[in-house]
Amino acid sequence: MRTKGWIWSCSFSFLLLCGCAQPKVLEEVGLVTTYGYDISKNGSILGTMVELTIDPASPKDVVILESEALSVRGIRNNANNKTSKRLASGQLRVIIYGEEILKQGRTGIAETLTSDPSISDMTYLAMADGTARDLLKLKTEHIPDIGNHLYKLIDQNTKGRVMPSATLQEVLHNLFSIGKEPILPILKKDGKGEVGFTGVALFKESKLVGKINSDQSFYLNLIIDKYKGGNKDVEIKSSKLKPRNQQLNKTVASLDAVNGSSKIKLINREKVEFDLDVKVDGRLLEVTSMIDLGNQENIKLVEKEITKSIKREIEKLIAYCQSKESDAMGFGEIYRSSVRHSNLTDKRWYKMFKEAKVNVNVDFSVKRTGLNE
Amino acid sequence: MFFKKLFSTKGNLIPKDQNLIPETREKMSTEFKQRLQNSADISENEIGASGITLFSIGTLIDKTMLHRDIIDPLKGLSFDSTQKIMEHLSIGEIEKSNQMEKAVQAALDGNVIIFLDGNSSVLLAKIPSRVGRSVSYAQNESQVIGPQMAFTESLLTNMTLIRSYIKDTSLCIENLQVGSRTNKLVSIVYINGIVSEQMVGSLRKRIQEIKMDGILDSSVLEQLLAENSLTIFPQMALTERPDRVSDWLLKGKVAIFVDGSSLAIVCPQSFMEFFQSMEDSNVNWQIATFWRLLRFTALFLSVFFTALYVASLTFHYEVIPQTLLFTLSESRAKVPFPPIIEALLLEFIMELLREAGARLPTKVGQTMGIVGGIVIGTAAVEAGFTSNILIIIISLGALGSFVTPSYTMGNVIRIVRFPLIILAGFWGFYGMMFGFCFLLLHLLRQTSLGSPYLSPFYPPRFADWKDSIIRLPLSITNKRPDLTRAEDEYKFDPIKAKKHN
Repeated sequence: MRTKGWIWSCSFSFLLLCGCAQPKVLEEVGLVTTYGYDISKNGSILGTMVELTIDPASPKDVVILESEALSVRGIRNNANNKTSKRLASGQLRVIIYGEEILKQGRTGIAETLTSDPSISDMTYLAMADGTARDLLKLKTEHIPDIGNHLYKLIDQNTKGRVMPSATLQEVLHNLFSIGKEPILPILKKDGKGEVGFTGVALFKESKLVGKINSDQSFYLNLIIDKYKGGNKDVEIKSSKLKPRNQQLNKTVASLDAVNGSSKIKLINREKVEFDLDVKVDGRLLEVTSMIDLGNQENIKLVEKEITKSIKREIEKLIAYCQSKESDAMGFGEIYRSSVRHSNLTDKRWYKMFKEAKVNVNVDFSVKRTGLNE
Repeated sequence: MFFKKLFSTKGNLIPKDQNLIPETREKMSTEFKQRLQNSADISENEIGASGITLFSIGTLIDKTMLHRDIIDPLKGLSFDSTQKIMEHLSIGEIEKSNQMEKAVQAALDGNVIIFLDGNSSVLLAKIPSRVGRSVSYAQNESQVIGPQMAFTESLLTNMTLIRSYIKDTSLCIENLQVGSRTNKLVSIVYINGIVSEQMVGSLRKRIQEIKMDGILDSSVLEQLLAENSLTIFPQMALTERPDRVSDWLLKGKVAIFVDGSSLAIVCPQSFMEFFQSMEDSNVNWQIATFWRLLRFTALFLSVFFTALYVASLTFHYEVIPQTLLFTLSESRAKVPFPPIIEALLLEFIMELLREAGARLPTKVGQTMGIVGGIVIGTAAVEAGFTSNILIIIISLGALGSFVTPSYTMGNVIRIVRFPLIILAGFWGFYGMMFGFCFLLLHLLRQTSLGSPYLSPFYPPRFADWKDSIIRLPLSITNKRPDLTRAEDEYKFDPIKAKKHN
C-alpha cells in the first residue's frame, strides 16, 4: 500500500513539474544583450536592442533591432515580429536609458524589469548622454559587438572603481529605500566613434535631476562605498607649491592604490547635522611641482594640501546634491537608522536634506612615495 | 513432467542405514561408483595383496603425491587395521571415518579413500591437485606505491596472504560451505576483539541461510548477502588486494573469501569508502587529501556535468557565461538534434566504446583508441553530429568515472547519469534537482551490514570525518570508524603516539 502511494506521488509530482519548464533551446532563442530605451517623437517608448544571432554562415554576430511600444515590456514583443528567433532577455547585460526618458521620469527606472525572473539582478544600468539609440548604433571597426563592448567597459570601470556601481539590484534598492537615491553612470559617444564614461546622473526618485562629472564621481564613490585600489589625480591649489607646468598653472598630485572609507554620523537630530569622516590613503606617485619628496616635511605639506583639496571637492559635491534634492550619498538612511520612530518619508527627507548641515572631515595620508609601475 | 522430476529426485535419496562403509571391497566399489554416478574419472587402485584399495576421483588428486606418499610406503606391506596404516603414512591431513557420505564428500574435496578390506572405517588422506595460477600483480586495482600482490583463485593462497599480513593470534578464519551443488568453501575472516560480534553473527547467519545450487564467485555471493537487492549501489566492497583487506580487517571489518574466487568481499562498507584507495594511506596525508577531493569532484562532474549541459542548453540559457556563448552556439548551430538527443547519443557511443574495450581481446583493443579518438571524436564534430563542447564534457565525465578506485562503483556512476540526462532534458534544473534529491534519499536509506551507507556524513560522526573525504595524519586518525562498531575503538593510544614522535 505504501509503495503504491509512493509511485503515485512520484508520478504526480512529475506531471506537475511538466508545467514548470518551458524549453528555450539555445539556438532557437535570440539573445538580447543590451536594451536601450528612448522616447520617440510621438511620445511612445522607442526601444533599441542588440541581439546576438550566432550563425556561423553570417559574418556579423550582432543585429540591432528597433521597435516602438507604449510599455517597456511591449518593446520586446513588438521586436519579435522582425526576428527569426524568439527574443529572450536572459543574457541581458546592460540597459541604457536615453537622457530624455529619464528626465521625464515617466517609465520609472527599471521597476518593470524586476518582474522578469530571467533578467539578472547584476545587469548594469547606465544613462546615455543623448539618446540610447545613437549609442547602440555606434559603428566602429574595433567594436564589432556594441553590447559586449559596453558591458566590458562598464564592468571594467566599475570594478576599477572609476564608475559608481549601478547594477539593477543596487539601483532598485536605492530607489525603494527611503533616504537614498539611485545614481547611474553616464556614457557618452564622442565624435570619433568612441564611448566613454563622462559622469554620474543624480536622481530624485526615478527622475533625473542633475549630473556630476567623472572627476567628482570619485568623491561620490569615496563616500558611498568602501573605496579600494583606485587611482586619482588631485588638483592642489597652494601658494607654496610652484607648478612645473607654467602654462596651465595647476599642480596635480597623482595618487595610486587609493583606499578610502567614510563614516557618516548624525550629531543633531532637530537641526539635522551630520559629521562626515573620510579617511583616505594612497601612494603618491607624482607631484607636478619642483619639490623634493624625500623630505618628510614636504610630504606633510603635500598631505595637508591634498586633504584640503579633497575636502573642498566633497563639500562642493554635497552642496550640489543638496541643491538638486538628490541624496545619492545616503544621509537619509543614516538619519532613519539613528532616529527612532522618525517615520521618514521620501518627501519629508527631500526638504530636510536640503537644509541639512554636513561637516566634512578628511584625513589623508601618504603611504609611500616614489613607486614606479 | 515437473512432478515426475520432483519425485524422481526424491527416489534417488539414499536410505540412512546405507550410510556406513561397506565391509567388502566389491561392495565399497559399487557403492562409491554409484554415489558418483559412475563417473569416468573415478580411480580405484589395489595395492598388491595387502587388501588395501585406494578410491579417489582421479582429476582431483595429485598423482605424484599419490604414488610417492601413499602407494610407495604401503607397497608390499600388510596391515590388520586402518590405525596401523595411518601411523605408517606421512601425510599432513589424514583422518578416519566410517561414514560413506563423509567419505564421498571428502573424495570431492581431493581426498584419497584408503580402504582396508574387512574394515568398517576408512582413511581419508588429502592430496588435492593444485590447479591454478601463482600470485600475480593486482591488475584491476593497480597502485604505484605499496605492495603489488593480488589474491588468486585459491582460497589457501589467499589465506596465506592474509595471515602473512596479520600475524595475530586473534585473527579468525571461519569456514562455511555454500551452494548445494558446488559446495564451495566460504571463509569469514575477522580479527576477534576488534570486530563487532553482532556483525559477524548476522553475516554468518546470512551465509548459512543461502539455499542456492551454485555460487561460483564472490561477486555472486555479495549480491546474495547485500541487504537491498533493488539498489544500484554496491553495498559491499570487492577487492583483489590483500593489503586492502588487511587494512579493513584492522579497522574492524569482516572479509569473506570464496574458494575459486580472486575477489574478497569486505563489509560493512560506506559510500565514501568506495572513493578511497589503499594508496591514500601510503602517501603523505596532504597528497592523499588532494587525491580524495579530486575523486570526489570527479564524481560530481561525472554524474552531473552532461545533465548540466543539457539543462542549460534546453532551458536555462541565462546561466551560460557570455564568453562561452559564442563557441557554444556556433558549434550547436550545426547540430540537427535537440541537446538531450545529442547528449544521449554521445554517451551511448562512449559506453559502446568502453564495453567494446572491455570485451575485446587485448590485441584488438588498440583499435578502440583509434576508433574512439579519431572517428568519433573529431569526425563527429566536423560532420555536425555533436558540438565540440559536448565532446569535452562527455570525456570529462568518462574520465571522472574511471578515477573511482572501485570498479563496481565506477559502473554505477556511469549508469546513474543517464536518468539524470533524461530528467535534465525534460525538466531542466528542476529535473536535475529532483534526480539529485532522489539519489540522496536513496543513499540515505541504504545500509551495509546494518551500518548507515552515508556514514560518517549521515548520521554525522565528526570524529570520522578526519579519514573520509580528506585524510589527516596518522597520529590524529587513531580511532576506528563508527561504521564498523568496533569493540576496540582505538587503533593506538594517541598520547603515546605523540610522545614517540
